[in-house]
Amino acid sequence: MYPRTTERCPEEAAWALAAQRGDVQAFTNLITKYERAVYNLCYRMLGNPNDAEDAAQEAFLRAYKAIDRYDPRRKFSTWVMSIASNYCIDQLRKRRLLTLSMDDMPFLDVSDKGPGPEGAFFQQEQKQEVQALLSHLGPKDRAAIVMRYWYDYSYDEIAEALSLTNSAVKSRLHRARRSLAQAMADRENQAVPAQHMPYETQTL
Amino acid sequence: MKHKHYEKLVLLDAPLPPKEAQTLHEHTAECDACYRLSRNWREAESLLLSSSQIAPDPGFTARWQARLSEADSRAGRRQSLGMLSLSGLGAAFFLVLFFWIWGQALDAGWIWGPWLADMATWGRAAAQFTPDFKSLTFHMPPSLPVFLVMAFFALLGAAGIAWLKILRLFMKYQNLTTHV
Repeated sequence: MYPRTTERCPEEAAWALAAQRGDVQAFTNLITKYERAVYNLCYRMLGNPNDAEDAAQEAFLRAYKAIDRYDPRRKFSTWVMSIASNYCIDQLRKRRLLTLSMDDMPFLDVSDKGPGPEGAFFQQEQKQEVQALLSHLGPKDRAAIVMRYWYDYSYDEIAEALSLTNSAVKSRLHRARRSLAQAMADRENQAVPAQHMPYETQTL
Repeated sequence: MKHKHYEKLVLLDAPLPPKEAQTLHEHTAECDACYRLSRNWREAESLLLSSSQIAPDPGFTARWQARLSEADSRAGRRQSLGMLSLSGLGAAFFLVLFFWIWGQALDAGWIWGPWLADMATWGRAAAQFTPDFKSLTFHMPPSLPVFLVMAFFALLGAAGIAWLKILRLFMKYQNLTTHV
């Protein structure tokens, strides 16, 4: 598992309280601390940098507008990740209603910057592989997997963020792992059976 | 049933107790489906675990501040438009009310005095344009004056709340611009 990247820092509660009193600078401190985590979640959910940027910005904007409702005794990261994942889930559901555009194909995206041509190539290839794998999951399953494997969230934290019960999280993660294993098998076989088509390409 | 049990063990994300791990190992040695599931999941898991977090382009916070400021000004414009419409409606209502009362007062002879001569002339002229209002008074319920007073205070309250909201928005904007 990854080391926790959303550990609560001592100033977090103070920043959140100050933000609740209308201090924008305190809120921007929270953004600086969690922008990477939120952006990564949005990227893993939506699959391309433009949508990820837009979703992350929107998530922080929604968090700022709703800061009065935030309970500083809770972790800010869980709260803002919950807002971001719900926004991304909505976006994926909307996207599902539209026809798949070329822009939505993460494996065609080459706009990301990275270190050196060779390193960038392998990084890009791995990124595409991961995104292709995640695209086999439904929005909520994808969010649960991202929270579990990138942020090492506990079942309780995932349940809180996605408004699910603990047992629902367990069953979603189990189902998602099975889908990912199946996607891996399909990739090896170089053929994608109809019942395991990527989520975005499924018809209603 | 047996496969389901082993599938559960394969996809568990916690370390298995040695005894169960041994049972699973023995089963996967002879069951091709469970072996492939186990291998595929391990590959998928290692792919997930090996990919790092992706960071946004530099200047994310500055872009967020610009977005907030844009959202605030949009909300401010919407609120101003709402206030303007509310004020216009309120002004129209009170203007009509004023001329109606003025006409009634002139007819009843409640208004007199040379210092009101000009206004009385305007009032009479206005009263001529409000014959329908006057005839309506015969059919209006007696509770109408009470309702009008209530409407007046409700409008006053709404205007007060709107004004406070604008003030709060303005203060928030001020706070933002001092920190950017």
